[in-house]
Amino acid sequence: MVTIGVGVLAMLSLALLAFFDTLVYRQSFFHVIGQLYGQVPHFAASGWMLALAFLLAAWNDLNRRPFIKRILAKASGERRKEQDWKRN
Amino acid sequence: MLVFLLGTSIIYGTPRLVPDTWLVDLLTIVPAFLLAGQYLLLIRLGRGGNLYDMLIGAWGKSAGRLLILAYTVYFLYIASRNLRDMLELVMTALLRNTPGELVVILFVPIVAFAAVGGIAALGRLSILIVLMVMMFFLTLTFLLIFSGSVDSERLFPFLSEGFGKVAGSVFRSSLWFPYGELIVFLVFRTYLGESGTMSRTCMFSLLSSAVALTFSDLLQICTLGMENKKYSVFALLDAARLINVANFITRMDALVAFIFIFGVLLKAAVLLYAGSRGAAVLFKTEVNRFAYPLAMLIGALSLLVSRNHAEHVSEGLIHVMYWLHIPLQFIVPLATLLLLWIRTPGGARA
Repeated sequence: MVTIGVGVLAMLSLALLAFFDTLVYRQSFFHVIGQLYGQVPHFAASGWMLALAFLLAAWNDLNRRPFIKRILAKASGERRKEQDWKRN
Repeated sequence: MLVFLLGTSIIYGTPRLVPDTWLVDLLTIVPAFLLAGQYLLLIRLGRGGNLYDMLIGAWGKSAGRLLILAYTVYFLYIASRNLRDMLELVMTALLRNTPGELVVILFVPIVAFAAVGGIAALGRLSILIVLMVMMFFLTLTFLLIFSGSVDSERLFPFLSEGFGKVAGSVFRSSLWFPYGELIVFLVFRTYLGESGTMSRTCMFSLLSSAVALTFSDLLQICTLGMENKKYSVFALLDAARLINVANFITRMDALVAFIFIFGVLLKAAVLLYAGSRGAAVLFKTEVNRFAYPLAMLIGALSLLVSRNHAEHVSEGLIHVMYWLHIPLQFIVPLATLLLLWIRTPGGARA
């Protein structure tokens, strides 16, 4: 849900920026959108930060999944809860 | 609230639409009290809920959620504009050769860390910041007086463009920035104590910030003069550069930068926390899970928000004022207030 939320908010915020650019420069909305998104493939810092925002959001979603929890627990040396010790 | 109000406006000052900006700051306090009164009335009718609860209560589930989305985007946008303000100051006055992106990337995690602490951590941080801001500001004032840069003659001609333009400037800009931005505190309503305590705190902060802003404007005009102040981007910074006490204490602009950076840190953290709360309500998850991703998002937006300083100022003074500030700080809260008033039975209202 965090990834979806960040995606929706990113899209709306970028649309808001583009809307204000259309008011300031009196250019068409699609021209401004093209300019805004055109920066992303050129490895601009803003593009990297957007990507980082999505990565963090995805991580926040994933680290609640049981299989990631298991991997994290293993990595930190924590005993798995479901591990069944066979005593003879 | 006081640090939030002083945040960026102590450096930028009130928008310079007329020469007597100090008078605009002083006069704005009257409509600012009325606007705060509207918010306090909303709190009273909201029955202990925060802004998002009130929106859903007044507008219904669908329209309420749409408005919550609008407020969330608005808070993130304002946070990104504040970060951009800080970036402009750093890039034009302090670290000219450092990439702006690096400044943002280093600053944004601090903002997120402050926001993750919640409203109590932000309160503790603001006590520290308000003391520092006041101390730096008083130091600047004394140093400017001792260096002989302050001349009260520069306040004249008084009301050269008439009272009408001054009064117009109050309603066109100064009321909405910074006083209207107090709406963000409605999001934290449930953490801010009783309605009476909140009213007193709110009124005291409004009065203190009006005095501080008026004093800051007076100091800038007395030091730089009306013409220089009008064309200066960071007037307080330019005033601080004039400090020269016995050719020994000079270049005190770092103090101004500190005031600004601390103010932006708190303001951006408060807005980010409010935005994260909105996102948490909309997408039904915990607030803190949104803080770091949204901090990165406002960092990216602060780099994209404008291509140059002229666009940044023009956007902020004209378009944001009419398209975002007035609708979301005045019209929507007023409509919500009316809807809550209609929906609340007479007995409960009293």
